[in-house]
Amino acid sequence: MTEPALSIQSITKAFGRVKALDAVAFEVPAGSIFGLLGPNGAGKTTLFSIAAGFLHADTGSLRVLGTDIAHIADLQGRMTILPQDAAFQRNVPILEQLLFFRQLDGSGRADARREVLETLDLVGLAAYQKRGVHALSHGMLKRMGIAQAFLGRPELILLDEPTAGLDPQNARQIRDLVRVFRQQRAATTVVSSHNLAEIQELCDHVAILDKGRLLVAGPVDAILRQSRQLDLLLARELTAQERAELAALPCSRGLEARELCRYRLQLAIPDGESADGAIAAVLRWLLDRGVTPRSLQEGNSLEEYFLQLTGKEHTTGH
Amino acid sequence: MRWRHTSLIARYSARFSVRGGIGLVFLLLSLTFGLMVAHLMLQPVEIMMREAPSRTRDLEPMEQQRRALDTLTEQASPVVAWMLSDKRKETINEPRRDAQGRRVTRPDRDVVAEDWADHLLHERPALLSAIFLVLLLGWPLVVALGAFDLFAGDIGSRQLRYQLLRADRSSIFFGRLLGMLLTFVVVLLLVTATVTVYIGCKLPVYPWAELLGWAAYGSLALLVASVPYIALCAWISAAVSGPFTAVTVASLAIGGVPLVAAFGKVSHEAVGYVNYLLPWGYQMRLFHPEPAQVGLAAAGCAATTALFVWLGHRKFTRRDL
Repeated sequence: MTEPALSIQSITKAFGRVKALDAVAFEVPAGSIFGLLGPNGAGKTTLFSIAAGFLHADTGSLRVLGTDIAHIADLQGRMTILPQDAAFQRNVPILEQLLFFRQLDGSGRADARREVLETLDLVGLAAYQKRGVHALSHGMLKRMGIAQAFLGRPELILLDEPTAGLDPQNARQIRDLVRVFRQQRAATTVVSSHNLAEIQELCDHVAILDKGRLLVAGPVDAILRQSRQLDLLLARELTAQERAELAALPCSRGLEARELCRYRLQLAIPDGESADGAIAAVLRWLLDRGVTPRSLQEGNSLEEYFLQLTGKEHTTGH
Repeated sequence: MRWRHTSLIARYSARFSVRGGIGLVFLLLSLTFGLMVAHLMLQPVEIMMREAPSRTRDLEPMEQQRRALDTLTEQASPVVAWMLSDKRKETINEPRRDAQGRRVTRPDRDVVAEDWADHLLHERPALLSAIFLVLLLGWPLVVALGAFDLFAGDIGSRQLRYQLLRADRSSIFFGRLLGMLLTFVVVLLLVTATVTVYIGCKLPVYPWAELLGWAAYGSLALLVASVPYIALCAWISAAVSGPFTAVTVASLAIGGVPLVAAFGKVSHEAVGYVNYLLPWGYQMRLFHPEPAQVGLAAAGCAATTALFVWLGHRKFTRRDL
């Protein structure tokens, strides 16, 4: 069995009396693109900071690419990070900063220069190579951060809120860059975000944190399967008897009556099966009882599932 | 620790340290301080030459300068002896030589300090010696303003995080420390070279070889005395998370020690030994005529440096960054 890229075992970290992480444990499969999801203050950045050796955990252990985090110095060049709120040096040209990082990774100056220029070209900052970071907008700074994270051949890349504070266009650019770089570099990528759509779009595995606790972790498909739902608009209202029958169907985990003639059905989909069978069964049941479905829509299940787990309204608006 | 990383970080830090606002302020401050001290020392010589008695007007300018310098050196000698003395009880206005130029020795005088002052003012280029002594009094504070931001600013702004996955903490610590030392060597050489050339051109009474030799020794002594303060700043800077806190603590620590010693000594003689917590207590001995005293002072600086570097490294490698 392939060793996980990141293995987190019962990590706890407190800042004074505030417990930022409480016995968090999960694994990031090698080669995956992993989403770390959670509202602000969930502990995502703290977990990233511990994985990168910026912070020391109070208890627990963490292995990165098979190396205990206590020996993080042995991982030089194999793991990179885009820290959420780290600044670049204001007085040093962009090219010089990235050259320095690449040389620390082990490249010679000539190779480093070639790699950095290629990467700057990919992120659209080649024209700014001799400028300081003061010449860059917020979106450009993020792209520079992405560039430094993907420099060289890292095996594991941690991206802490890569699209935070960006407008939709810049956020889209960053997501595209992550996708392109990941295809080129084939590295395990862990992306933290509170943007559910972003995680759903980018990631194949996900872990959800809230108030320092791990709520769920696993493949996105498996998690979505647990929370697939149908929003139904029917030609007439269902009677109490019909509602009970519909809720009792084998493909149903519950029915919620919303506005007039609108219902939300939580689907139960067995492992390895698609939602099609369940949707067909619901339609068949409705038509057998002479109820015409006017509209039928699969809901944004990760968001619903996230809100269901964290027990709050989603307010980020991304 | 990897030497390749340490050297890379040292070169990068030294190369870009002066580009930042703090680096520029430090460079300007050092130069201003050095030149101001040189000017203050030269000014009395120039004034004396301008106001020289008519009988010396016929002399060659160089002879005029020599006489003015001799008079000034004679007048400054008790002050320098007082500065160097541990006792500092006697008045500085009493003549130290009789009419025939022989040393007046009294049992309550600090003869060691007088010999020391003689060495600095009569056996070495007096002006340069005086400049070095004054520089040594102010330089530690310049060090505090130059080295406080070794880590604190980058910890606060989290700039260090881009390096932490690429180099181990020991390499970063020692690399930055070496880079700072390199910057100090360059700045110090710039200051002493400027001052020496200024004196050499303004007052051509000293042979260039003697002047340059003493300037080289003085620069080395200043550097040896600076290193413990730089190490102290490294420790403070590694322990706090903001440049403002770092500069405040560093200035208070470096400037506070001699103040506490000076004021505390008035009520309790033993408080004066607080000076030995930092090189303040013995750094002047780097200019002592006896090599053993110079060696002891250098050893004291080395021991203090080792202690502060150890504390700073320990803090930097263990703390959350």
